[in-house]
Amino acid sequence: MSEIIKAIQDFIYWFLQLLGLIPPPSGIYDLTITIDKTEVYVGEPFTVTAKLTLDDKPVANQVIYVFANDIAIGDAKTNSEGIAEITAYLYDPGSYSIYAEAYI
Amino acid sequence: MARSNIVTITVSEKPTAPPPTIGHISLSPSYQLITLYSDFTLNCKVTDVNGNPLSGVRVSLYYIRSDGSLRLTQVRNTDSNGTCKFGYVISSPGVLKFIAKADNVESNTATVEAVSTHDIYLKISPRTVQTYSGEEVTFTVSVKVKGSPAKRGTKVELYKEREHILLKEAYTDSSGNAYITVALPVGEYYVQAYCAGASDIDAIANVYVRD
Repeated sequence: MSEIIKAIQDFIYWFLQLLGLIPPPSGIYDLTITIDKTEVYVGEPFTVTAKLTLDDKPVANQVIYVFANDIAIGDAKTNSEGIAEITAYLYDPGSYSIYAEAYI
Repeated sequence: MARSNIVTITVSEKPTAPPPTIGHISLSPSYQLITLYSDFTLNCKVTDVNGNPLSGVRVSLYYIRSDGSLRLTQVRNTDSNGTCKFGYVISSPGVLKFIAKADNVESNTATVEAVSTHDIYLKISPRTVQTYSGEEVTFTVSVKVKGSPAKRGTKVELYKEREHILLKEAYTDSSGNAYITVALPVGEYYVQAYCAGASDIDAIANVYVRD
């Protein structure tokens, strides 16, 4: 019963937040990425590991998008530790800036 | 929205494996006698330094001029067995020498002697054979080219006449003789020896084989 009440409360909270009647949760989001390789061959997979925290606490179930020179190359959801692993491929030789974004 | 730090990755073309090193090129047969306007084939085999066949190798066949210079005649690629064939027809009598090359590796020299059918003389012995089924008979075939014994390694073929069935082939020794041992089929017929597609009345033997 209490779970149902909690779910209704969460929904109302989310809905009011959507209408802008409640400010978004305050705190500092931090998104950090690492990659397993800094040099790859064309078409060779590499893994981007992203960690998302809010006030140093992991944020779970959040979609992380990875970009290479501003073009999206993959996405994945964070786990309970706030970590998402994205395997990506690049098919043109060159140097790429890799970063990630989470739309919170 | 949260945005991460930026890391840089460099992507490069995958390096292609260096082409395998050619260890040996062979051209065979090293000698063959042919008659004018008949087809002949030179077989080429390319292997690596460990003796493994190399496929997809571009092999050039050169004719060696009398002054030693080379004239490119044909180019072929080796198949999955590392082999390729060069085919030819020669219209003028003479001795021609060929060499194959790939990546600056040279083959042995293959010699082709082209003669008129009239220049080849064959003699078979014995001229008459009476034997039983299953027994082996050895024919001696003497080959002369322009009056001289054929070079060692000249191919001689023995056919059962009428049907022109190839019974066996052999190669001449240094005296120009080829020895063909064969178990003949039952019947009364002729066998005839051929060399470079040419034959002779003296190359025919009568055969009587009984059950």
